[in-house]
Amino acid sequence: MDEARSSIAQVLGCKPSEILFTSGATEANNLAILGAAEALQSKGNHFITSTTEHPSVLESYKHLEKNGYQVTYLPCDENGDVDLEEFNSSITDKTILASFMWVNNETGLLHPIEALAEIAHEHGVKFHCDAVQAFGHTPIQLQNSAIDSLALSGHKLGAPAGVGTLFLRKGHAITRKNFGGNQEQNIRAGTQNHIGATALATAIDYHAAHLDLNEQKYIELQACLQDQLQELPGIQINRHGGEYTPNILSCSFRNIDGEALFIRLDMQNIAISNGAACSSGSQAPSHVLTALGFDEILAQATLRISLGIETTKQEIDDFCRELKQIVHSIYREV
Amino acid sequence: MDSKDKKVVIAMSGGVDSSLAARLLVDQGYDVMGVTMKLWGYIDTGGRPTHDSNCCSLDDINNAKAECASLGIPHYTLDMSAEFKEIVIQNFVSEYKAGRTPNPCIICNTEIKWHALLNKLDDLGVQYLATGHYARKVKHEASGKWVVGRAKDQVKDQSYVLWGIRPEELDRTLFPLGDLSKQEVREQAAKAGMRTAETPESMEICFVPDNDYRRFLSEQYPEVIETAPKGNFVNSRGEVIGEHQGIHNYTVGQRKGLGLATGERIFVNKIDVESNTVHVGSKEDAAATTFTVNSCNWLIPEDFIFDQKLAVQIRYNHEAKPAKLIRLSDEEVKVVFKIPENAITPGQSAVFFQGDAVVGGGIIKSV
Repeated sequence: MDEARSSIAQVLGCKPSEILFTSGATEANNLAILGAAEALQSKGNHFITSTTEHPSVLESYKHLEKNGYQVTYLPCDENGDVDLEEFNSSITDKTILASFMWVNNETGLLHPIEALAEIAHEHGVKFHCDAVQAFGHTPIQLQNSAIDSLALSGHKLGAPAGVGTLFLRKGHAITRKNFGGNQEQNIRAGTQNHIGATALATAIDYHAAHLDLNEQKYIELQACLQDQLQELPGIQINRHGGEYTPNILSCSFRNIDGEALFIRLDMQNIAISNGAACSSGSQAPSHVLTALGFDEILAQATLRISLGIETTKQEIDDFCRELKQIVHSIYREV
Repeated sequence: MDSKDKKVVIAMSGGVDSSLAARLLVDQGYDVMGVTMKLWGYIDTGGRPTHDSNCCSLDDINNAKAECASLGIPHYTLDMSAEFKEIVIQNFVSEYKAGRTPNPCIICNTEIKWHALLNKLDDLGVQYLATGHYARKVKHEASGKWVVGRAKDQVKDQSYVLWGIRPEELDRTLFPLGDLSKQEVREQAAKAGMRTAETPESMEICFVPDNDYRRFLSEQYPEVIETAPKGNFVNSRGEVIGEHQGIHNYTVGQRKGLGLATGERIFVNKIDVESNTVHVGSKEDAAATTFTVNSCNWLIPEDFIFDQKLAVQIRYNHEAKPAKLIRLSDEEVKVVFKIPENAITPGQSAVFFQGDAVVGGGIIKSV
């Protein structure tokens, strides 16, 4: 455990005692938000976040709202970006925590995390970051950062599912949310997941060492992907002015039935994500795409294409060929 | 027909019938894919004490998925709830508002399970659609066209609710259960160890799970109910004998729940929307030999229908009776029974049979 903790701390530029192991990023986000709410309640009861955050963040805030806390959800522009000025002016003397994701999981947009954190700090507001999609693609160095807490997930990095970590800066005290042991700085009780922690440390180490190399590869693959996608009828690439991570690309299709598109891709054994997940009981379109102003039909016909460490150019070409064939066969002229 | 390599989608509800139909198709060598349509949610319909699910029923979908997994075939869920609401539920509400008694299952079959789903199948590159209905697809000898034949199991026979399938869509349809009885279906399912072998029969309208359509209308469409004024019950002598609670509460042939104490067995015979009147009387008062039908669908060319021997079935549990059809216009036909029939109900379907074959049908307009 100590080795894993030290190794992660070294990569992130923090102290080993600032690294807590959790069951994943969901727990880390929950703990950072709910723990701060209780620990800082003498200071205030107001939080600030954005509408495009992950459900582990948004639903933590929904829970707090039910218990009398105030939450401001900053709207976003067509990119999904929040406005720094608007963030600045939404801070009140009751604000205790602001939290934003580093990279949006559906669109790949990079948020100006350091700038947001600086603004929070100027007002004495603590700052949490969900960095699940950022690590491995964006350098994360915490020693001179204004970030007070930060969540990472294991399985996104190649470690097994069931492990994650919460960076918690010394001096930012949060209240524990589970009981029955003094593990993880007395904050996260329960027998520790040694195998998970070791795997996570190894994965983090690997990604940090290969950051530049992978980045170059992702940028090339991404360019190759975009070149081929742009020829498809009805397509819009969901990238506007902002900065994006090269391993995620979101694109949408007009005049195409989203369900048919996903089934046809699945029939070709192409695993790809979409917003709608009816079979899991949720019929709502993606809240991220809705926040970006997408209508339900367009949201359903939206693909999130994720590139992995092992993705090859050949796979991109194969995918684009299949997609092209499918899109041509189901595209309906209007 | 050589089934090898033919792509079929089986529409699966998660019950035993469609699950066994999927198995039979796989055994026959088709390239089968299971599909479950999500048509409505309790949030839109009410009728259930706890809103524990957003889906029609996640259990049903999971049953269908599990059956497909055990057959080694893919399963997909299609969200057709927008089409269902816009077409089936809207029709249900407006029919009651107009004093008629709709059969939403028929609209759903015609417009959703066949028309909308086949449009999806075009996108999926699939030619055939199969369902777990008890019905057969048979050749109409004189015309050479496909028609819907009654099932071997006469009790379960569902050919009545399939009259609306468009001819070109029936060409693409398969009914794997047509030659099996319900008992045989359950036995085969049990023998194959299928988890759905014991699933209960569904009898009610799916989106009115508590079988209380008045509750459904007043909860979900209060604006319709609030604008449906009370009016008069009038007997066969034209006398006002009481006050009704709004015409949507009544169905032709209804006896219970009228709140009239006349000392006789009294039935709803006719609902007049224009005068907001519910006509009541004895059963015989309402017996009629002729009525008109519109929104017709013909499975064979009309030359083979008019002036031919036919039997007409006027509700799900009615035995088809001899009648002839007269064309009134392109939109409307007149049915003339040989012997008067009771409770011919506007909004219900009139289905035209030649022997055991459905050759067409339509919606009863007026009596």
